[in-house]
Amino acid sequence: MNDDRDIKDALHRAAGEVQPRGTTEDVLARVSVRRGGGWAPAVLGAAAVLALVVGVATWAGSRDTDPPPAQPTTREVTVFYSGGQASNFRLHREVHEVAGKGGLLQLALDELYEVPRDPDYLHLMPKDTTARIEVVGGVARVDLWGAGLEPIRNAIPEVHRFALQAIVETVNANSPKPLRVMFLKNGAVHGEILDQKTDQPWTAGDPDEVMAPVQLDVTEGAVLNPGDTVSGRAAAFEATVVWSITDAKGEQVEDGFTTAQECCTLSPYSFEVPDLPPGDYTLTVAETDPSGGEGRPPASDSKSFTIE
Amino acid sequence: MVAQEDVVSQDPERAWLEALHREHFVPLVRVAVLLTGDAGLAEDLTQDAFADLWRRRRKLTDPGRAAGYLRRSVVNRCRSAQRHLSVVRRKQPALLARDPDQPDPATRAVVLDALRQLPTRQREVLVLRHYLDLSEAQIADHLGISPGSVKTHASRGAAALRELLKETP
Repeated sequence: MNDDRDIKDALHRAAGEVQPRGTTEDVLARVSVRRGGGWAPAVLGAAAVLALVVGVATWAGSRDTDPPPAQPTTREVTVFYSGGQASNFRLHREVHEVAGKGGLLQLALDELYEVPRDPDYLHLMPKDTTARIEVVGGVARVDLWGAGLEPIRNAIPEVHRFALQAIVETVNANSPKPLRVMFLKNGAVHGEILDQKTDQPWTAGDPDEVMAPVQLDVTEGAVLNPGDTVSGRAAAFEATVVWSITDAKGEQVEDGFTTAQECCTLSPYSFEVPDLPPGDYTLTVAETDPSGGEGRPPASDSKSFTIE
Repeated sequence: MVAQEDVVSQDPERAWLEALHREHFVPLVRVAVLLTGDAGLAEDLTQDAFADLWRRRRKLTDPGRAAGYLRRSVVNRCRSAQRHLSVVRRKQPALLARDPDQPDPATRAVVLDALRQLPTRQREVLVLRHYLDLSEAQIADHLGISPGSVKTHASRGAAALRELLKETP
């Protein structure tokens, strides 16, 4: 790589013309809690797609009360995001590596505010809020703080329901034992938060009711090799899961189908990565559409991956 | 201005952010430009990376690794943004058309266009290696791949970029 002076020069010429003007004031403005804010625009349907272009991240307020770290730690947390389809806000799972000290459940809730790895997913955490968790017995008290806890006007109820359900599922996925989740708002129990009844603790939902009907267990941007096994879970008609692979130009290069272990309830499926030349690809898995286009759009999940 | 600087100097965390920003902001925006081909998006993603770092500042296990954290964060955000862009381009192509009143300078446009045609990993390796002068080991660490893969991507990427630039009139 030492002889690549021409490459180096080309990159420096191209990038050197860029003169950004951002300041640390801009950085701090992104972090600070803004009063009167709404929700991530991502939940508002078609506009969401455009919002994602600029990497929507609804940063929570700074955790100024956290103690300074003592030992280096990196841990994995499981977080749930919405599939973000207008007709289906059901949840998808991602595993994130997080650095930091503190309880795993708090780290997981902090991570819920982060941008999902999969750009098709949305986080539904209310903008301008933070979530603090305390576990007492079998109940996790999740206190949502901030100015952004007003329901979205005219939003379909699913948005609010899945915003809270994503917290419940995230808490339970990172807890060694099942936990009920009691929601608080600015330190106090309320009969309703975000138009949802919150006078009693919430429990983890029936996976067939709250999880996306087609899920792909591939990390966004993964490096795969031909012959690798790809797996996921699906609740599909006749247990049939169809898959397709498109190349960097968006042209389909392979397709096929596989069968989940059971019909119509979330159960595992798998198939092998076909022979493909090195390059960047997108893998999409989907349920079939028994309605012939009359019903809701078929659920799907997709991930980009690289063959080296 | 004097008053503001005084305030900054009295806050060691703020001074730490100022120093990091001064040293790394412009290079990282330029890295993001090379990775995304979009100067506005690049600056936005880089500011987001700094905002994320600031929010986590008291959870950082080793403040000396902040620069590496920022680099990884920017590269990951660029990769994610590229997919966002591809999603949006599929759904709303007209809304993402380049503003004809703001054309890129020719040199930059040619190189960025060529970079865009490379596979993601090759583009990332080339930029980290030849723009930021990172070592193979550092690149491997940042991208989560082996040093051997870094070498392969660098070699293939350089060859492909040369071909693409050669084809440009």
